[in-house]
Amino acid sequence: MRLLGSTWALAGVCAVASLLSGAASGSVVAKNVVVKVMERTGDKLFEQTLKYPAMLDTVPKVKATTPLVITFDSLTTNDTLLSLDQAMVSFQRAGTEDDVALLARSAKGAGSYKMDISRKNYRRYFSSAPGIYSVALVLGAADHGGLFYELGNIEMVGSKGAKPKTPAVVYGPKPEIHHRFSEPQKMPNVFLSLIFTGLAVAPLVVLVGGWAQMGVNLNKLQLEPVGSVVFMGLVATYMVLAIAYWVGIKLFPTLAYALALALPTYLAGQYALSKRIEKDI
Amino acid sequence: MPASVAAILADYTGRTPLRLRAIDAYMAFCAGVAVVQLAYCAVVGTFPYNAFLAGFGSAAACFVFAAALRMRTDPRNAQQFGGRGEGAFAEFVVCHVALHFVVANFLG
Repeated sequence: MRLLGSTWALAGVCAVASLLSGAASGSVVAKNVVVKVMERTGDKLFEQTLKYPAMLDTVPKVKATTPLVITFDSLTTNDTLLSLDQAMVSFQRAGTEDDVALLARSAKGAGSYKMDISRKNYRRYFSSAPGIYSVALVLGAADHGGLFYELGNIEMVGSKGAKPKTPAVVYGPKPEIHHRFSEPQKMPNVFLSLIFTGLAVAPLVVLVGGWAQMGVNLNKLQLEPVGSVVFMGLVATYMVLAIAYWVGIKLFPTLAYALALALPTYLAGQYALSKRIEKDI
Repeated sequence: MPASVAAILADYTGRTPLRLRAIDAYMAFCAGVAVVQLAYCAVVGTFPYNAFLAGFGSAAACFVFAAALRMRTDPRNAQQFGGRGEGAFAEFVVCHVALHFVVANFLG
């Protein structure tokens, strides 16, 4: 987990706050602090046990293939093993404000903790930012206060081909954005579209001609002319409303108009068709 | 024209009432329009797809409504459906109004 800003200042504030708070009944003690640099096979390249407040004698080198392992026990001042609310190992890169805090997980039991840098975390945080890092334990327990224990310096070796990390904040103009708009759809030739429009209209001409040849007529409209004309006129108004909706009118006004037309259309249809039945019988 | 086809046409024209022949012509019109739209899609492609669905769906739905109207107004089905064609026509009109609002919405 990466902490924003300087871990040192934050940890110092936490330590002072815990000392000054009335709730802290003691303080956290770190014992059996062991710093190891191991091969993946388990062979130890470097190992040193530290007693608070001693620091590392040398600057061990750490690579992705030789991870850093830190183990420690947390106790109260009464030498009782203590479960911590916060157990982090902080790495601050020398000469910069960059810092990384990695979680130390509970190991053998309550009060025993271990932190090791996985290959994934090494690639993520250190490969592109090699250099000397100052390592510290940042421990805290709600009822027992906190501890900030600087362990010493460790050299993180970068990986070949890793790109150097750019600063987190870069002030200045951002790169120009080049929008990529989708290619317009390929449309057919205008003449082809016109031909097919004509072909789609042709069946209508054939239909009207066929009806005329069959002798289809509107003679029975005379049974109830007024009602029939009003009914068909209102149905035609619905069709016009549908076209108007397609062209521009929004949905809810269209529904309002359709609702307004519904009752007159129903009444006109009921009247016209029932009168037609009466007169036809 | 083959004799069988001529006989079928003569029988159809002689036995089928004018109203049903008018509805049949309308159904043939709807089918023709649907076929033309399908042919256009086969030649050019489906873009814009919503417009094709609206047009083809409209023609197909009109065909179905006309088929229902034909069934209801056929004198041979009078016992099953009862009543006269005016009620069926009213339903036909209502279905068309609803269909055309859906089509107008889908046309885009």
